[in-house]
Amino acid sequence: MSVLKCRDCGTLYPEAMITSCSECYGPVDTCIEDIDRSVKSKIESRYPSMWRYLEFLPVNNTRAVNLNDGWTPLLRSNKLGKIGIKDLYLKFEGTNPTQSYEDRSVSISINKAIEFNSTAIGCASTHYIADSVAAHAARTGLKSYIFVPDNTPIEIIYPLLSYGAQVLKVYKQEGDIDCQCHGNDPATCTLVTRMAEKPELSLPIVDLDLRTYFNSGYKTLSYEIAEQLGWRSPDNIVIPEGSGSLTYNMYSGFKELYESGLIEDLPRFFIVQSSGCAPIVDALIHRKEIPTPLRNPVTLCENLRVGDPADGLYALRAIKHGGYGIAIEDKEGIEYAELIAKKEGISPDYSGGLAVAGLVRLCEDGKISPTESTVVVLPASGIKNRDYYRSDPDLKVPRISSNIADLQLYLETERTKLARTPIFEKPGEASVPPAFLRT
Amino acid sequence: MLRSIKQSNESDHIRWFREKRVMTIREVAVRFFGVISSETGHKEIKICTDAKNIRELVVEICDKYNSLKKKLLSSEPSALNKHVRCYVNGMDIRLIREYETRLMDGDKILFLVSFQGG
Ligand SMILES: [Zn+2]
Ligand SMILES: [Zn+2]
Repeated sequence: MSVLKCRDCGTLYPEAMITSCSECYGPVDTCIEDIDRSVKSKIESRYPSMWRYLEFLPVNNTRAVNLNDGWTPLLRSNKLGKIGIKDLYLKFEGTNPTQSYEDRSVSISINKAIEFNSTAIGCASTHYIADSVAAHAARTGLKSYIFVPDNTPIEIIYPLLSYGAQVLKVYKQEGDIDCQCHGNDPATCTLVTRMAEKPELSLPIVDLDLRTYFNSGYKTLSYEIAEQLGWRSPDNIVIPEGSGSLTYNMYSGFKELYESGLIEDLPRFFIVQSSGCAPIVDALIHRKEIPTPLRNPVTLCENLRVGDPADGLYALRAIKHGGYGIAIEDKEGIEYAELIAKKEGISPDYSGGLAVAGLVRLCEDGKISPTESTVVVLPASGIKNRDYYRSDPDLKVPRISSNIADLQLYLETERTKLARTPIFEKPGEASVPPAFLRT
Repeated sequence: MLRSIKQSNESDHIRWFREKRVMTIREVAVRFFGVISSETGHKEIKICTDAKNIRELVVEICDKYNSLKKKLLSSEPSALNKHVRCYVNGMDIRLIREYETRLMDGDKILFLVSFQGG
């Protein structure tokens, strides 16, 4: 597989490190060729990771170096009682090598960098992509350079250093582009934009210079969901969204399966944004083709803090086929993230909580019927919510001594309290919803 | 001042017009980034222009580089291609006054193709 195609005008390009169509300046995507249903048995015979979808991946090296990324659990949700959705599945991306969905895209990007003879890889991130680049670069033997804002705290930098990444703090100077894209730091953003004009540096940026390949990693989420459901598509997919890329590329992934005859229907796509940063939902409501950029977006969900969503207009196209979009307060997302951890035993990041909160609202609004099968994407593990743990002043943990009487007394009072308020549900029965759900 | 008017032998009206015109000529630096510069052949140009805003400047640039015209402009009248970003002194024009953003002498204008990632 080696052909690239302009998303807007369809111009074809041979494989190269290109990001934009030279005819219309539209984004360029990888595309699949000559895949039919016979590929199913080949896929099923391979090791369970996203690399089992080899025929769909834009790599020429069949022995790509990776971290067995993907093949994350698709868990049937039994206990999110109040939601009352019969066929609810949680696609939990927290079991990826660096605990987020970005491992999929970084894994493909880095292998492409190797194919293009790069010996180093760069990124401008302090979050999911940075962690993933550091880890995959270490695994593949590439040198990684991670550009971070000048004020990045050492707690974020240290884990990257432990993988052997070279972290560089980029300080502001006059003439920096005032950028509202991902990362939202003018200095780092200006630097990587300027780097794009200097291929001789031989330091491709994982999600910019290699973005065509990076995007194809998101498609593997769709392949997996379909296979895990027995090669069929769910009725609905709910995605927490920032840049619009995940939605557009998951939509493309399902379309590829559909066109190859591997599934018979396409799902409807629903996106959930934080109300502090919802340019795509805003465009949907105001019937704009292209989202208007938002200055200084505010949300605790770092992966969703994208004021200028690069793939916003394409995400809007993906949800037009029967889907919808909704904005939810961070506070509600955090409450749902904790509820999922308590009820299902998996702790998602806040953006995952936001997605489930959005699903509840979409059901209440009649946009999604509780009888339809629905998959919610939980992009990362809750351990990624670094900032919040540090700043929550209300966290109180009881203290006891090693004296066993201390523990006995504590358990007795605790159990009497619980006996008076029966909040535990029996498996399979609807629970009494916690206070914040009842209002 | 008085003497110069007499020497130039121009009517007050024409003189006023000429001075006004001189005042509205601005020199701006225009930077074409990445794939756009392959169309212009230059990465950076200095333009002396009487364009009052970005809308007029874009028209002037398109007159100068004919092959850029069909790529820089969208099919809708006086709108940039949706993949092209324009910055004036580092500010995205969509966050200020879009195409009506006023030009000042010494402004730095940047055109680039949006290519941000996930
Ligand atoms: Zn094109
Ligand atoms: Zn940026």
